[in-house]
Amino acid sequence: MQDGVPTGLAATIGDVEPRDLFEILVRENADMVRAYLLCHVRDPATVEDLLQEAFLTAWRILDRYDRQLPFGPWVRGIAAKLLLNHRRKMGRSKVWFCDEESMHVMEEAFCKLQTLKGDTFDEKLDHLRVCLEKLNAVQRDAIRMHYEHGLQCKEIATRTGTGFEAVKKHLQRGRAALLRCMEARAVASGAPS
Amino acid sequence: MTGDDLEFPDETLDGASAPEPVTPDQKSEVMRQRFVHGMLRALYSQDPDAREARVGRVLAGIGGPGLGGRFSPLRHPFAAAAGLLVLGALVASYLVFLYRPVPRVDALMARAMSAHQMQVDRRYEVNMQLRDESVAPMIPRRLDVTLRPGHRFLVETRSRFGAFRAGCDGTTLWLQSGMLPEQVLKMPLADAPLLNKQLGGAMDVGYFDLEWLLGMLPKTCTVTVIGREGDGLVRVQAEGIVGIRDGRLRSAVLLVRESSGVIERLEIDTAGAQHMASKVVFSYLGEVVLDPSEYAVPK
Repeated sequence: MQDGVPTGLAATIGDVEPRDLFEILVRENADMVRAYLLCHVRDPATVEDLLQEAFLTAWRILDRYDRQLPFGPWVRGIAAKLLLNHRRKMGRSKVWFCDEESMHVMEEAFCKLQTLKGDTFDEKLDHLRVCLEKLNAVQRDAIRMHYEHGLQCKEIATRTGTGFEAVKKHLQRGRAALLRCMEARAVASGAPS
Repeated sequence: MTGDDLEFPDETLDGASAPEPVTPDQKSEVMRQRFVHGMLRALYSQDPDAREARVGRVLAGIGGPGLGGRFSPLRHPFAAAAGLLVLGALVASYLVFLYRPVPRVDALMARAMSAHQMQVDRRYEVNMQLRDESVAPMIPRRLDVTLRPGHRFLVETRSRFGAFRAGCDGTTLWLQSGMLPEQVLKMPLADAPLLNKQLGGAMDVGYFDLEWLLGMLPKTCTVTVIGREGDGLVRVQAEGIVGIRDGRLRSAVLLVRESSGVIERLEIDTAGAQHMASKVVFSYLGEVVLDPSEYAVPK
């Protein structure tokens, strides 16, 4: 590494400044990595910290990156390792949803997301917007109240006059329906089912 | 790194974790739920400024200023001219970055409709201007109005005769005076125009049906997005005539929160000599939590 720049990258990109190239990669992938971390971590500040750390690690080890492969899954892999390390630091053994086997399933879901039509992450989210409109009103309201307005299940139950468990079911079934809808759109985009 | 809560599954995913998933199928199902959970969180927390700050922090962390930051005008005789060109391009890029096209009117109105179909209680301050301010001094000009989809609303105000409340639970309209709270006037909502006529056009409850109004505007008016305004608001103008029960809307200006679709301000110019109010202005105060019984006829 010379002058803080990964040597492998400097040797392969000719006249383009490595930092400039890396900035493009960060801009292209930051939203996706953030979404990946939001799947696992509730605290937004921790998500920001992990995202920062993932890209800084990527910069440090950029000479290990195989440029024949897409950058997104590679930096996501770094974020996954940071998540696992973070879990170990936390010293909690009951974090079942953050083991390697589970994260493999998550990685598959993100790979499928990449096959949806659209160049940017926001364009991929357009599919989710379309699928949201297709939900039944009860599920859509529950999801919007929870995710858009930040209401907890108890508050949603109070506002809608339904039970706490019913709200959780609406959210679960809504999410399941959204996933089915997005998978169907991925298949329609030509992704393997 | 502090404040993490990995050990506490999100409460909405508790159901998926009971019983604790141990088989690959159970784990897979929970991760699929979590995937959508993360996508939804990402969808509803998009913020261009925060995104730029995020990228800026990463670039600061790698010790470089980013695109164009290493250019030196002394390397080549034509470098100064090239520098100016690059600078011009950067300024142009920056301006292009700053320019965000206004949302399409149909998309914005659909978002507003969706927001106002949500089963939440939204409170507005409503101010009315009368055609002739001298003719009806007893009519209050300012109302506190809470709206909920399904023709449910609660109006609270004070006049020179004391407090006054009116409401509707979706089917029955009721009025209650603070002077005689035990005497509640009630009638089917369908008869509201008759009441308004008796009150000389002072109580057009059609304005309290935002959901219906939002549906009618694109159908009967020319609706145009004027531009962005303030902090995340979009100004929309509607010109045309909409019959609102027994009143008529001539034009309306809406300030819509782009991210949520919530109407934060609504100015209605009314038409028709019979109609007492010449202008009705809704100003959004925020969401509140009302017990559904608040909309019902007082007992």
